[in-house]
Amino acid sequence: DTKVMGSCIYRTIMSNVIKNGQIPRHIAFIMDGNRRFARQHDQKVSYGHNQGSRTLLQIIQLCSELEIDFVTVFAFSIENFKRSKEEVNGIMNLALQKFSEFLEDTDHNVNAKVRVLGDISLLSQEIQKSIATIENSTKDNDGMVFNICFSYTSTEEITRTIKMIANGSMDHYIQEDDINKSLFEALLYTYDCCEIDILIRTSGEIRLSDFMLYQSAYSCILFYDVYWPEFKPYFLYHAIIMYQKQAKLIQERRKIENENKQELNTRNTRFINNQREIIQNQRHELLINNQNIN
Amino acid sequence: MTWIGLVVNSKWPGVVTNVLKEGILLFLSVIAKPLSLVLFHLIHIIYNISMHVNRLKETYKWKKISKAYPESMLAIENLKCDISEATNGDANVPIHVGFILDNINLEKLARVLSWYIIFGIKYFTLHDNSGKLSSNYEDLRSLILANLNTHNLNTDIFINDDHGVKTLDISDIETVLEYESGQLTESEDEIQEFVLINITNYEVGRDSLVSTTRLISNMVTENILEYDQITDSLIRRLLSYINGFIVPLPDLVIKLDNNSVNQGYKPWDLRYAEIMYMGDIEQFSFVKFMYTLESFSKIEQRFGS
Repeated sequence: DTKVMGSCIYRTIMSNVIKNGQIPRHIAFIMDGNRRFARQHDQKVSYGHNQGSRTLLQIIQLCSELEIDFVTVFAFSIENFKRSKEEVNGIMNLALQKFSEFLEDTDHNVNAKVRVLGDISLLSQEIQKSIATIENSTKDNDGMVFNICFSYTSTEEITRTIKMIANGSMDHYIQEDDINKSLFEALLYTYDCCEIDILIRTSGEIRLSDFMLYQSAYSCILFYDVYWPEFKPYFLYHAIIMYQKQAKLIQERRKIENENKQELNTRNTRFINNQREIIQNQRHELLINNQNIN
Repeated sequence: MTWIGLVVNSKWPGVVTNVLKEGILLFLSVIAKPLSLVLFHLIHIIYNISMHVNRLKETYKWKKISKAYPESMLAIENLKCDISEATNGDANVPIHVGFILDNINLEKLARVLSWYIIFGIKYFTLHDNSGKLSSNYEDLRSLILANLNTHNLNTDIFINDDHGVKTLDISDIETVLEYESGQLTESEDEIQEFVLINITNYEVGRDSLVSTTRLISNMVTENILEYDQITDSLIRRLLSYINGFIVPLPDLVIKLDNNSVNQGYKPWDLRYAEIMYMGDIEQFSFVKFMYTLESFSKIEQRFGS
């Protein structure tokens, strides 16, 4: 109890102190090191992933206390399908379990709006339906937006966006002059999120591994030499302090880049709404199928 | 505020617990705000001091190590051998090194690049948002050549100023499509005879993806390209195409701008690149150069598996 009380007091004090400075609006995490953590503790890989999901919940709660608007996590890369079938199935089952736990645990899920970003057509029907359910159940929540990148790579996201725009050009919905940065960004998975302010990778690896390459062009990128299950609130406070030191530089750089950014026109907007409707309908179909089965 | 519930014992009489709770909340609302502001500034001061101390410690450490490893051709040759031996002949060395720069000192930059060229690196990207490199790249070339000459080395240096969004003409597109179809193959041996230095800035960052989108849309509309041919491989080749050949993506990007902000580097190029923060160019010593390559050789890329 003393330990818990101490931890709570520490968090309350630090959160209130940190909030005197600029708080990032969007933090992204590459949650790396679950397997190595498990090996270090002579446990199975599933132990590492389980511990990792506990850490994730703790960090989400902390981000909510700090009033961060968007949290994006890299849960499963398209490249991870290369892993053993046993591990991939284990991760999928864990995802299913955690999605339903998240929905039931109203005390700790911080009223977050959950979105799953990625090529979900590569996932099993069961997972797709679970994703549609969790997104639908949380769509009216007014807490932070919690993006889970599942079956995701940044290059797939960019390729998909380019293909959508090329398709729109082929069908004459948009013309060459309509293709600008605003249109491009409006068709990414993160279309309604602000840019990433801080991108954190754990486990000591120093690369982005095809995660949020476009969205992190002006982010504070930080690498921590701890495995994800060991990522404590202290590291997040440290990351935010580092961001606060460089926030002015980040804003200056973004301002320069966006000086000549063109806005969306009527054709663009119509095209974007059409594309989003298609995606929403696909999710809605999955949901209806899931409800019918239930 | 769950900790208040822990502080205030639930077994105490109701009046006492209520008064205590209200008292704590009053304290927090009146006293805590200015106190938290003081703590905030204190944390930042402590952080600044610790960063400064760390920087001094690092500078001292590197200076000490530098004495044991003076700059020389022999040291570079030995490094190559050491890396090769440590990796059983299958040397893990970068093919393309990127630099993110801030404070440009041309002489120092030329010296740094010369070390990597002598080691055997052929492709470089220099990301400079100040614009200084774009207007001085001929001076940079001369300085690099002069450095190499002092070691009796001679190589052609081709500098591509990627300032602004590049456009490809129809013959370039045809060449890229030949790579896509396998009629042409990318080879690391292609540019043995010269070194390529690509100068970029933020304008070539995200904007390059938008201009590539425009290009691909035009190609599809004009039936030069089929919709199904739009793949990540094609996009990479269009982004990496320079004067007839495809530049490999950087495997190592070294930040020499003394901060941890991305600065608009070409997004696709960072896909699998190792990113090393090495302070600023003035403090980038010969030993640090050796460190970057030795560290890179030990990295294991799992590519998802």
